[in-house]
Amino acid sequence: MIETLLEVLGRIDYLFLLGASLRAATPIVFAALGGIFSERSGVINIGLEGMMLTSAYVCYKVAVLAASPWVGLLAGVVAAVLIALLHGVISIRYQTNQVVSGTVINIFAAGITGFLFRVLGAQESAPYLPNMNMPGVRDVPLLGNQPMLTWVMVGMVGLATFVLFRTTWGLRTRAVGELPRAADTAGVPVNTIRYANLAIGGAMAGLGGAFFTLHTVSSFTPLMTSGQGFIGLAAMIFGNWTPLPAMLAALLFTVPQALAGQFQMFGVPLPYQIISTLPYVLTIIALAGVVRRSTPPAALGVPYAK
Amino acid sequence: MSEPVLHMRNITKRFPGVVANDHICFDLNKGEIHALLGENGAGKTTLMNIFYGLYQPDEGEIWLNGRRVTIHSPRDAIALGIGMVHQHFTLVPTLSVTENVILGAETGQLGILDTRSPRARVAAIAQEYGLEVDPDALVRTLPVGVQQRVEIIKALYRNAQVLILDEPTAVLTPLEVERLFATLRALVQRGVSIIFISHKLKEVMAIADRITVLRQGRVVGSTTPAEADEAKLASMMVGRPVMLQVEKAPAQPGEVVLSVHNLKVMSDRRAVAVDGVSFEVRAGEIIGIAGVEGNGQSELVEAITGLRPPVHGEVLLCGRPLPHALPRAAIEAGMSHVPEDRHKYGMVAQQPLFVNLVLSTFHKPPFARRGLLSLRTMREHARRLIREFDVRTPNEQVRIASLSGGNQQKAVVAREFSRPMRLLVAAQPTRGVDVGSIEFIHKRIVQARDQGAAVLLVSAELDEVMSLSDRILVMFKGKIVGERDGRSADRAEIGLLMMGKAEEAST
Repeated sequence: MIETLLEVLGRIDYLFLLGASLRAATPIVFAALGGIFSERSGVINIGLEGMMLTSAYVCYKVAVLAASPWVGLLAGVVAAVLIALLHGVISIRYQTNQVVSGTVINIFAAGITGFLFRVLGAQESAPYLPNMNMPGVRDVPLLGNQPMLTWVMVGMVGLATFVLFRTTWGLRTRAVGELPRAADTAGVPVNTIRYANLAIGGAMAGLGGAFFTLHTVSSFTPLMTSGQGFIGLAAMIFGNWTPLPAMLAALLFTVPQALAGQFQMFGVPLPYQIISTLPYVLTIIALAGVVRRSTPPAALGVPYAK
Repeated sequence: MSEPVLHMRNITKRFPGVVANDHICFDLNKGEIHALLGENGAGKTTLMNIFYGLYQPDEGEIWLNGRRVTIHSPRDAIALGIGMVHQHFTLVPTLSVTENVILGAETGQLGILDTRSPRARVAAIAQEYGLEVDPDALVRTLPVGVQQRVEIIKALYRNAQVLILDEPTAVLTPLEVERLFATLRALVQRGVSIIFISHKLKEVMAIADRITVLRQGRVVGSTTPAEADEAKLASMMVGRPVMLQVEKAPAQPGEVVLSVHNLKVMSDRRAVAVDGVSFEVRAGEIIGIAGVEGNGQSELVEAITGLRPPVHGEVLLCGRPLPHALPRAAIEAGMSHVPEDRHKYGMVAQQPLFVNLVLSTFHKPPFARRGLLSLRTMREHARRLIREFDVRTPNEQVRIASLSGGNQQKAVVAREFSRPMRLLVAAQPTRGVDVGSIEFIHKRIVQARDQGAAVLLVSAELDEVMSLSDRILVMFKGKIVGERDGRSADRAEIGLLMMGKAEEAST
């Protein structure tokens, strides 16, 4: 048994494993990045799931109508940003509880996309976004060729890190999320920063949503985001509201799945179900060990009033 | 005298139900320190928040350097050369000193943060004014005294010509206050004008060139330290003569009421907060614990009152161990507790005053019989306490949150003093309370002692500890580092002990 396992481990194509894991992690990481921007500025955003779902639907529908995945992508991102701004109006302007607002957005998105799907139907296939060969890893089989949005995601993790920690914008965002009064008395417009970061978060969720309908399958099915927005939030917390660790946390969820596929391929006598539980087991371990030490932005969830 | 830098004319600001500023006139000359003195709620902070653009006045004009200005936001104020050091610091704990200083005034191209040249400027400003601080340190790792320096640097970095300091000494040790004053004098020498907001008479007398006193939103008068003395200022603030010194007879200690043995308590952050502390408090004496806040006093009090289980050691009340984390057991054993954070432990903000006045005894007769509350008895009881303790309130049914801080505190004191008391644990009993009420609360504490209660007083106000205590214990980093007799204790020596400098204090 052990020997077979070792033998299989020796035969696994690790590059393929990495590629598959990155691919599966794409929407999760986008959701995590969306969460990081919103929450670093102090606004809880559990509506990412709904924003992704909305984007997935809009991407599909517009891509079909315009016969262009690019137009679809743009429309999906715009739709998600608009919903993010709605969350902003509810929670920043009217200072409603942010968890309630986010929940409302999730329910609303599930309802409206399901309704439209039934009314308008979804027979046609949407045009796909292209896969891309990344220079440098182009010639590496199975890793070099990935969906375009997966490469965008990898780049975005770097960009988000830079923006948060090396730019004026990032400094202000972090200040607003930690102690808005400090930012306000230093002349930084707290609520403007929060709206803008929510919009950025919405755009991230929009890109994540596009992955479902413009890469994975070319059609929409109700609730197709299946909780990946929430897993993204979990990755954000594991990653302590920091982009690169959040991406690694997202991989923690997707590597076991890819591994399960490989095990099956090589006929390892380990039930698929056991490997499928791995992400959850890892989640529990991580929750127990990591989350206690994680520190959310201090002003998270608190509306700012002078 | 030079021309005024600032002239505020007839500033009026109304909030629902109160006139916070009622036609206030205030001016500031170049290079002077003008103190704004008044009790809590007198309107000092409101006036300065108007000047700093956080509030808009309902009436009145602000003239700066001979020009009329309207200040809509802190951004406007900063642009006009106004800097403010708020009472509650506005520093982001997770950012570095430099990052905090440049926040909102960042330099750099294409939005990319430049920290190198600001860092050098921060260091230069720190050097020039004796505001020693490491520009790269994370603010949360700095003691409050140093954080305040960062606040001042922040204002100077923005070229502030007028600096407002709101209750700047509230969080400082005596030595740090000296240091702050030296900095302020250096600033004034270089032409900065300073508005110094305070309710502490001693400090105002020591640092100000001029003093303007506010009471209930109005200017009562202006004077100078040369013309006034503390008693005069106090009566201007309160509107009647005030006793500044507590009169008390020598203590007559009786049997031991509270004894604490080798107590070890952890803080919320799981660090050792109280480290092997032992002491006794006898009936008829006041033991004062002096120390800079955050040296374990809060945890010590919580352990004694049953709010926090100690990890080691024991607390005996009249020779019997107190069950840990059972506040009611402590109350039944005759302990009264005026907690340091009344909002957290002292009152239920959204409940009526009369309910708050029976929080520790509501379950017993005469307030409850067979599980039913007698609201009428509770109200009568409340009316009696309101009279006796001079709680200023429209009636006993208003929510306690609607009272001023000083009156909330008097209500908490009233409740704790209204039941038979063997031990009084009073933590920061006069925090946020005006001079008149301080006098009253101090009298009641001494009265409790004279009636045979043992009193443990914990206060960050050194003057309070010195004037009330029969014995003084100094706490530093969780340990008792010194014990002095209350009557012969030397203020400077206690100050040194509070800084952990036991060697210097004993020589």
